[in-house]
Amino acid sequence: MDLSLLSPPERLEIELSILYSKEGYVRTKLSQFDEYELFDRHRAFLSGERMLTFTDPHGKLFALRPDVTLSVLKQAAYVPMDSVRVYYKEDVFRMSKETRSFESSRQIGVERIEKSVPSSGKQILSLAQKSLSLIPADTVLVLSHMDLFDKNEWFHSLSAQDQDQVLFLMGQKNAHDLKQLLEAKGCPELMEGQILYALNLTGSPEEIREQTAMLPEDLMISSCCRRVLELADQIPSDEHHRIVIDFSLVNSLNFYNGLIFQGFAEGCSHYVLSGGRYDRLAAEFISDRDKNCGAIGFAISMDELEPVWKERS
Amino acid sequence: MITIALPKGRLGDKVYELLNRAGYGFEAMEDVGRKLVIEDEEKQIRYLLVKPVDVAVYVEKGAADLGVVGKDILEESGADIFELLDLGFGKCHMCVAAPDGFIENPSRRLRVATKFENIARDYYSRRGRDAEFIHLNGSIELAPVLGLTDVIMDIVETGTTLKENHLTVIDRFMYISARLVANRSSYRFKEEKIREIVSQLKEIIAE
Repeated sequence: MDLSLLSPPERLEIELSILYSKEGYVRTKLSQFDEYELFDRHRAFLSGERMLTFTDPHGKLFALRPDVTLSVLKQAAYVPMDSVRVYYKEDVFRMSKETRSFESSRQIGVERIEKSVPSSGKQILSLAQKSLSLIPADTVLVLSHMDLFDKNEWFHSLSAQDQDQVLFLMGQKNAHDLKQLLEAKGCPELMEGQILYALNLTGSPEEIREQTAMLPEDLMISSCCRRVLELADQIPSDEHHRIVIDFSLVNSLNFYNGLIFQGFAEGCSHYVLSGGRYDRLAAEFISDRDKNCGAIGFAISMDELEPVWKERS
Repeated sequence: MITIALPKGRLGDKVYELLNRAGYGFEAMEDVGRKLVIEDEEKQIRYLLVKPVDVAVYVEKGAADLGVVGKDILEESGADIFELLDLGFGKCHMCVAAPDGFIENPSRRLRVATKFENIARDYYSRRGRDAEFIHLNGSIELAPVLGLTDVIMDIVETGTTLKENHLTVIDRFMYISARLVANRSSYRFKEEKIREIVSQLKEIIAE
C-alpha cells in the first residue's frame, strides 16, 4: 500500500494499527453506543463526563460512548481466554468545557487484560513509547506511580472529598496550597515530607536515580521510584523521544493503581497519550473468583495532534 | 523562546515590578502603550499583555507557556494547568457578604449575586444549600441593597466598599493572591528555563 497518498493523520492511524497488530493485539470494533447503565455505574471513572443518551424502540436507554475502556472490559469479560489484547480506533463523545456542547473525538488505543496473572506493564509502556515515536514531533513520555497514595494509610483515612483535593493539588504541582492542606488534615510529618518531595521530583530516569540515591530505602517514595525506574530502564528513549519521571502525575484511585503515564508532543498544548494500570476497574467486570486480574492500556487522542499536522503543512 | 502571559492593569504593574527585580524586566510599563506583544531577543522571552481574565486561557491552550493570574480567576476558569508559585501579592479573600443584620431563611432558596458563578455553585453544592445565582459583572454590592439577591459572593480586600454599602462578611473561605501558572505541555519541553524562572522568582519573594 502506498501510504504517501494518505494524509498524515490517516498515515499515523495505519502505522499504529500495523504496530499493534505486530505486537499481538487484535482489532476490536465497537458499536458507537452502549447501555447507559454501563457508563452510569462508572461515573467516577468517567470524571463526571456528561452523556448523549437516547431510548431504543424497546425502551432501553443507551448512550453514545464517552469512553472506550468500559466497553472493552465488558466485551473482555465474555472472551473465553485468560489474556485479552485488543486495539481499537473509535470515536468518543464528550462535552467540551469551552463550548458546553457535545463533540466527537477520535481515539486509538490498546488494552491488555489478564484474567489470572497481571502483566508487568513493560510491554504496554514500550508500545506507548513506540507509538509516540511514530508522531513526527519531539515527544516526552511521563511516568508516575500511584503507590505513594494507594498504599498510604493516612491518605485512606481522609474523606473522599479531601482525597480528591490532595490529588488535585498534587496534579497541579501546587506545593503552596498542598502544604497547607496536608497540615490542616494532620498529615504525619514524614508523610508530608515525602508527598511534597514527590511533587517536585521530576527528571529523566538518570536524574531521578541520582536525586534519590541517598533516600532511605524503606520510604514509600523510594519504593515508587524503584518501581518506575525498573520499568523506565527497559524502555528505549533518545533526545527526540524522551522519558521523564514525574510523581505529580496522578489519577483517581477509585479505579487506577500502580503505574500511570502520559505522552506529550511538542507544539500540542495538552497530553496526546494517556494510560495506566486499572486492575480495580477490571476486577468489577471479570467474575468475582478471579480477583487477581489485571488490566493496563492507553489511548492516543488524534484530535490533540492537530497542531503537529498544522506545523508540518 | 518562552512566552509569558501577563495581566494588564493593577495586578500587571506588580508583576512587572517582580519580574524586573528577578532580572526578567522589559521596557517600563508606562512605555508599553498599546503594545500587546513585547519580545526580549537576548533573554529569549516574549511577553503577551492580556486581560487578567484571559491569562488562564492563553496558558491552558498553549499560546503562552507561563502566566500570572489571580487565584479567583484561576478557580473560576477551572483551567487544567500547573500552578507553580504563590507570588504573594494581590492578596484578598473570596467572601460571602450580606446586608447588616441578615438572618438566612433556610426554608427559601438563597439568591446569590456574583461574577464567580462556578466558585459559588461549588460552594453551595458542597453545603447542600439550594441557591440561585445571578451573574453580575461589577458593582455586585448593589444587588442586596436593591433586593435583587439575599447575599453576594465576591473578592474582598479591605472591606471598605462592603462597609459603605452596609454589608457584612458572613463567610471568608478562599485565600486569593497572584499565582504563576504553566502550560502542562510546555513544562515538558521547556522545563529547564521554566524552573530557572521559578527559582529566581522564589528568591525574590523570599527576600
